[in-house]
Amino acid sequence: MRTCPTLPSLIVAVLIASCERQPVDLGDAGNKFGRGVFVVNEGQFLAANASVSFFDPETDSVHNHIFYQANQVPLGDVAHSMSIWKDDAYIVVNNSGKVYRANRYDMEFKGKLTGLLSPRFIIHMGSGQNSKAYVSDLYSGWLTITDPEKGTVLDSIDLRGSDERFSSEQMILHNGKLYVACWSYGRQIMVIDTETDLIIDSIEVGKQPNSMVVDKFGYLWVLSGGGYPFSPFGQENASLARVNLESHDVETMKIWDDIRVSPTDLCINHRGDSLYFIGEGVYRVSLDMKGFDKALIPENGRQIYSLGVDPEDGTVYIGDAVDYQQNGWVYRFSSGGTAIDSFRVGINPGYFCFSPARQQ
Amino acid sequence: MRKLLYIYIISLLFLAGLPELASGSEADTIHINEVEIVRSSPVHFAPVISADMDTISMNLMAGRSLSELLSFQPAVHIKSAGRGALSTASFRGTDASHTKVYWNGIRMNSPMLGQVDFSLVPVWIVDELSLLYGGSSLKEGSGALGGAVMLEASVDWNKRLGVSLNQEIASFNTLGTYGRLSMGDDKIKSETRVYRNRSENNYPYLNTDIIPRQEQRLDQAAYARVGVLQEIYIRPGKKHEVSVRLWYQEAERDLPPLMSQEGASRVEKQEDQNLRTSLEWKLYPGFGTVLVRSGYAGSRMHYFLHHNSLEYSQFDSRSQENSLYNTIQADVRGGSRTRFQFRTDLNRHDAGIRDLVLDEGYSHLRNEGSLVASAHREFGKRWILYALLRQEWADGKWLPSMPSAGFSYRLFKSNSYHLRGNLSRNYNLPSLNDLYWIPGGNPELRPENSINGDLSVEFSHKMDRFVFKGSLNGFAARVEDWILWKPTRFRYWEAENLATVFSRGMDIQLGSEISLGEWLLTLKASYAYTRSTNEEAVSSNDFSRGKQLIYIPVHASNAYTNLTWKGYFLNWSYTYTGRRYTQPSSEEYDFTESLNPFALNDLHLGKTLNIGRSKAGFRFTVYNLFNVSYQAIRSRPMPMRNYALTLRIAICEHVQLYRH
Repeated sequence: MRTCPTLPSLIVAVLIASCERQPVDLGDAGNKFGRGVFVVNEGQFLAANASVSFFDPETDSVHNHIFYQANQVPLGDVAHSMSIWKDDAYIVVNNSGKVYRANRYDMEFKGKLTGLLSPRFIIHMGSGQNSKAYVSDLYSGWLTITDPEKGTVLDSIDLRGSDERFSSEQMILHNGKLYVACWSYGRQIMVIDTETDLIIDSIEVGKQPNSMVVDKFGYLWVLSGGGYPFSPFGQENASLARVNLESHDVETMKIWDDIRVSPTDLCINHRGDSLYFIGEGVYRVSLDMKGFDKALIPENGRQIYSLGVDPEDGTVYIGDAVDYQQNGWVYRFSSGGTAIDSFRVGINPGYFCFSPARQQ
Repeated sequence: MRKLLYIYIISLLFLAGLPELASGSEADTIHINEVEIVRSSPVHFAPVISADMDTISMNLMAGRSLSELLSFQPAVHIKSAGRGALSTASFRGTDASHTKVYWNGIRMNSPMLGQVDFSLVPVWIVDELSLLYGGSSLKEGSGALGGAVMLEASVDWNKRLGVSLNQEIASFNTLGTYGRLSMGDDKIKSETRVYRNRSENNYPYLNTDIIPRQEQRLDQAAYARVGVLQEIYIRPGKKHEVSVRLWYQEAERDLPPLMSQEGASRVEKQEDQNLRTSLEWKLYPGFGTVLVRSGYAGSRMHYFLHHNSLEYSQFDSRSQENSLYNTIQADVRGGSRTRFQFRTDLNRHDAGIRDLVLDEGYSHLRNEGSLVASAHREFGKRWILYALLRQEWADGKWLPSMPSAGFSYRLFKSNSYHLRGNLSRNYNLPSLNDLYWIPGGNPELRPENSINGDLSVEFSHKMDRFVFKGSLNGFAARVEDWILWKPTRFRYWEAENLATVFSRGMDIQLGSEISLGEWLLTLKASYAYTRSTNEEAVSSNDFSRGKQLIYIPVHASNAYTNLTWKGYFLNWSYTYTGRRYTQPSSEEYDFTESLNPFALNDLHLGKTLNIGRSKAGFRFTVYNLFNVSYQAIRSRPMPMRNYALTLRIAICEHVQLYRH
C-alpha cells in the first residue's frame, strides 16, 4: 500500500503547525478588594470583552479581569457602570441585558438580574425589607425597580410619553426623590417620588443630558452634550445647567459657543465645590462657573474616555481608551491636576466605581 | 517505482514542515469531458499569481456556501459568525473590504459595505473558482489590496441535454435541494440552476459566557435561501459569442445574539434579495478579442431588531443598492509574441439606507470609471514580461495611477517550473458607508492604498501514474490610510484613515495524485504563514505597533486525501486555524483576549452508480469529526459534530457532478 506514508506525514504536518503557546493565567483570583476603585472596562460593542479591574491606591496595585478570575466566565458585552450596595457590587452589562451581583470583596458571583433591554445604571435605596434598586435603560422606555438581593423585578415606571419613549441614563437620589436624566434623544430630567414611584415632575435642560451631580449646597448640576451633527433629534450647543432642587427651576446655564464641543462625564470633588468634566481634556470649574477657558488636564494624545473623582480625597482618575480596541490606561492626578501615576486596565475603561473601606 | 515512491515520500516530508495545494484542475488525471473555461483573458499568457479551487473540493462543497469552500484556502481567512451567518474573507492579512469578488466579471462587493457576505453565495452557481493574489487582480479591478475571488461559469458546448438533482439532508433540520438543467446545441445553450436551502440551525454548544456554564442550543439562527440562475449562451458564428445571465436570490435569516446575552427576548432578522444580470458579447476579429459587457446588480436588505415583550422595535432599516457595470475590453495581438489589452469600465452605484425607527439614513449616487492598458511580451523561450497601467476616477475625482509590472520565467527548458513576480500599486475606494453613514461617515476619507509585491514558484511533474505539483508563494504588502472607525467626542463612531499595515508571509501548496489500476489517490496540503502588523502607534501607550492584526491567524493549514475506487470514494479533509488575537496589542497572557487554535476534520464517503447514461449516487459526510468546540468570532458558537447525507441523480453525464 503506497498510501501508508501519507496519513502519518500529514499528521506530523498538522502537529507542527499546531505548536503554539497557550495563554498564561495571571493567578490573581482570591484577591480581596477593600478601599479603592473598580474600573469598569466597557470592552467593544458586540465583542463580549468587557471586564472589571481594581486599583488599590494604598498598595498602588492593579488587578485586571477580576470578574473572570473569580467566576471563570467573562463579564459579557459592554459593561456600562457599577455600584456598590452593602457588601455587594452590581455590574450593569448593557448589551447582555443583565446586572450581575457579586461580592465586592472578591467578585464572586452572587446573583443576577436578567431580561433587561439595554440597562445603563443601577441605584439603590432603603434598607432591609424596604430596599430597592432602580435600573435605567437606554431603549426600553421603562425604569425597572428591582429587589437588589433577590434579583426580581418589583415594578416598572413607564417613561413612554404619548409620542416619545424616554431613555433613562444617570440617576441621582436626593431627599427622597430620584432624578433621572433622559439622555438619548431627550432633554428632560424626570423627577420620581421614591415613596410612590410616580413621576412627579420633569425638568427641561439642554439636549442630551449625559451626567449630573449634586453640589455641597444641594444644587443639581446637569451636563448636556447637545446631540451630534445630522442627528434626527437635532443638535444644539452643549450646556451646563444648575437646577434648584426645591423649585426644579434651571437657575443658571452655561452654553458653549462652539457646537463641536460635546462635554461628558460631569463629576464633583469630595468637598462638593468643584466640578470636573471631559471636554478637550479635563476641566475643573468652580461653582461660580470659573475655569471653562483652559483644561486642567490637557489631552496630550490621550483618548479620554472616562472620568472619576475619588469621593474621599478628590484624586482625579482618567480613563484612556488608546485606540478603543486594546487594553486602556488609567491616569491619576491630584485634584489640582498634577500627575500622580498611571496603570493599565481592560478595553475602553468607561466607568469608575469608588469603593469605601470594609466596615468592621 | 522505488524512485517514484522516494520522490513521493520526500515531497510529503517537505509538506510536513509547511502544510495546501494549488489548483487542482490541471493535476487531475480523471478523464472528464472537455470544459471550455470562459475567461476574459488568457491567464496562461500573463504572469498572474493565482490559485484555482480544485474540482474535488468544489464537488464536495456543491451544496454549501463559498465561505465553507474558501476555508480550504489557508491564504484566505474566513471570519464566520456561525453556521449560515455573516462570513467575510480576508486575503493574506488584509481587511474583508480588501477582498473583491467578481461573478463572471461583475463585481459583487456591496458598494455600501465594501465587502461580500460569502455565506450568501452558494457554490452551486459556480463552475470555476480562482483566487488572484495581490496585484494580479488589478486587471479586473482596483481595490483588491489582498486579492480577488473570481467566480466563473463554464459552458460545455458538446453536451445536448443534462439534468441533475442533488438532495441534501443534514443535522439541525437542514434541507437543501439543488437542480441543474442544461439544454441546447452547438449554437445556443441554456443552463438553468435552481437551489433551495433551509435550516433550523439550532445546534448545541457549551455556553461558557453565562453563569452557570451550561449546554444550550443555538436559538434564533434559522436560515432559508432560494435562488435561480439562468444562463444563455449563443454562438451565432465562429466570430461571436453572446451570453446572458440572470441570477436572483432571496435569503432570510435569524441573527442569534452573543452567548452572553441574557436580556429581554428579541427577534433579530435579516432579509436579503439580490438580482444580478449581465449581458456579454465577445467577438473575435482578426486582431484578437473584444468583449463588451453590461451588468446590473440590485440588492435589497431589510434588518430589524424587535423586542416582543416591550413591543419595541430598536432597528428597522432597509437598504437598497442599484449598480450598473459596463466594460469594453480589447485584447490585441501585436505579432506572435506581444499582446496588448485595453479596457474601460463605467460603473454607477445608487445606494441608500433608512432606518424607520431612528429616522436616520443616507443615500448617495456614485459614478466610477477606469481606463486600463497593459502589454505582455515574450522574450526568448523563457521570459514573459508585462506592464499595466490603471487610471480610475470616482465621484468626479481622479485617483492616483495604479501601475503594475511583472514577469514569468521558465526555470528549466521543460514547461513545468515557473518563477513569477509582480509589483503593483493599488487603491481602494472607501465604501459608501465609510463616507456617508449618519452619524460618523466621513466624506473627507482618502482611498486606502497599497504597494504589493508577489513572488511565486510553480512546478508540476507528471509521470506515468503519478502527478506531483505545487507552488511556493511569497508576498509583501504595505497598506496605508487603512480606514478604521473610532469613537468621537459625541460618542458615536467615525471613519478615519488611521492605520498603516504591513502584511507579509508565504504559502505553500502541494498536491499529488497516484493512480493504480482502479485506485486513484489524491493528496493535497497547504500551509500559509501570514504576518500582518500594525505599523503605526497612535500614542506612546499604544501597544499595537508591530503586533498582528486582530482575527488574522499567523498559521493556517489544511490538507485532504481523497481515495476513489470503482465509483466509491473516501475523503478526509482537515483545516487548521491558528491563534487569533481579538485586541490589537496581541496580548498572549491575556487569556480572555485571544481565540484558541482549532483543527477541524471532515470525513466524506460515497458511491456513484452508472446506469446507462444516467448516474445515481450518495454521499455521507461527518463534519467536525472530533467534535471540536471552537469559535471563529469571539462569543459566537460554532457547530460541533454534525452530519449530512446527499443523494444525487443525473440524466446524461454532467461534468461537474461526476468526479467521484
